[in-house]
Amino acid sequence: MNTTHSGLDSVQVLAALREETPAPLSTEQQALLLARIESSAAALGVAAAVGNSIAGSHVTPAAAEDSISVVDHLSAQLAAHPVVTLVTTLALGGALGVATYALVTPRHQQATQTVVTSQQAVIPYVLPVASLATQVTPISIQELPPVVLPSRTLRDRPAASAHGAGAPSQPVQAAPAIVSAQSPGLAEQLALLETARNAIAQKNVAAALRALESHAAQFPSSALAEEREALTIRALVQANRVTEAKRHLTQFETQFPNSLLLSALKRTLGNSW
Amino acid sequence: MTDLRGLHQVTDVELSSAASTAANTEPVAPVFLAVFNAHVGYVCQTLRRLGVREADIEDVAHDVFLQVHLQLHQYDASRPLRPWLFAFAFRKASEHRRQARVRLEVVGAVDEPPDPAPSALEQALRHEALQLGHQALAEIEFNQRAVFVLHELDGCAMPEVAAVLEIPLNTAYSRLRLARAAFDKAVRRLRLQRGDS
Repeated sequence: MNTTHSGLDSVQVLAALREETPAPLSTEQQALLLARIESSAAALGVAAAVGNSIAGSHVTPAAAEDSISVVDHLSAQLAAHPVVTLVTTLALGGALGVATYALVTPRHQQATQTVVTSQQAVIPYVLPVASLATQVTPISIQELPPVVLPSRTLRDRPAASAHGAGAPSQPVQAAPAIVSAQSPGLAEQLALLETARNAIAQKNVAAALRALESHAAQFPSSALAEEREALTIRALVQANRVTEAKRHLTQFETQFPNSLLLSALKRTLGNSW
Repeated sequence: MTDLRGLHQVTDVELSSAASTAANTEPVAPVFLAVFNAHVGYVCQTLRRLGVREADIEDVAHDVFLQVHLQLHQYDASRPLRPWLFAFAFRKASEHRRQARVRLEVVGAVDEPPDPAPSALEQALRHEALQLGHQALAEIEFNQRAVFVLHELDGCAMPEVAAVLEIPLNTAYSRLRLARAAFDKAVRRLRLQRGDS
């Protein structure tokens, strides 16, 4: 082995690096990664739905990244749908304003850290904007599910760069109050789902399903039910329990018809779907 | 405004006819999916080359593609896609490096590249070269390494490298020169080190 190195020079090493083909991800790895990305993207403002409607010229990735804010995406979302009812707009705007205000408020960060025990435990929640747009009954801010934003993307954002001016004059403590009061046992829920996620990654289906069943039993109508059901389907597929997975997917589609996770889940079931 | 439907003209992404049709109504999701499927391997490889540890690749790739997802509508289809993706990978790898837990990078302790099909002598030699190459890459200063990887390994022209990394062209050339010297030196040293051991 050592003798082979003595024959290698920089040119040969460079040639080997150039010819190196990217190691392909397994189908499952790819599907899981895609689902995570879609989930996170949805939590950041349903970018997939509004991408085409956001007016913008070419910008470099660096400059563009600096310009991202939840407010940008959500205001674009509202602008793209003028038929959204006034009630829904007010309710959604209020909730998002609170969430946005919370983003730029250090106190919120502290409060969130007390709920979420680790960065890895943050599970982006899919804000069902499309569902809200079709609601006919008034929605109060308190009825909206909590918005847990992916900290990996927003953690380094300086407060000054956020659009704090657009935030409503809600008291500073409102956001953490909503997060904790409207999602009982949020930390526990996040921990259970993270346990399941890790177990799936380690192909420990039994442990994953245990955590998911525990979540379903304790928090049947949780705001994180969508995430839970998606993980359940993936775990069942991993366990080769295709029939059950299909049944869950059918229910999932009925319950969350606008979920961005849906396409990834169908791909996970592959040809059998 | 970027016309995403032109994406396939400048990339090796073969958009399916279904995706092209769907692009009229919901352009980002199918195009993103095509980009993701075609380039997730490249992004992971780039992150690896930029020194992200194997255990962290998936998390950083998540961050990269999340940003790509959000920014895809701003992609200028007249420019090549891979360097554009590289810019995201570079920024996320850079952020990743700044985290305390990865500051103590041990030179030479990079993860081994995926083992190619074993047994043949040629494969073994290639594997050795790759292993040496990854270790040598790890010894190049991060910003210089980005220029080196993008130009020497990905074959990106220097003006594009400078544009992607948002640095002056002269700086890019300077970093390339330093990176080449560091790479040669590292290969020589590692070769001797291993040959003597």
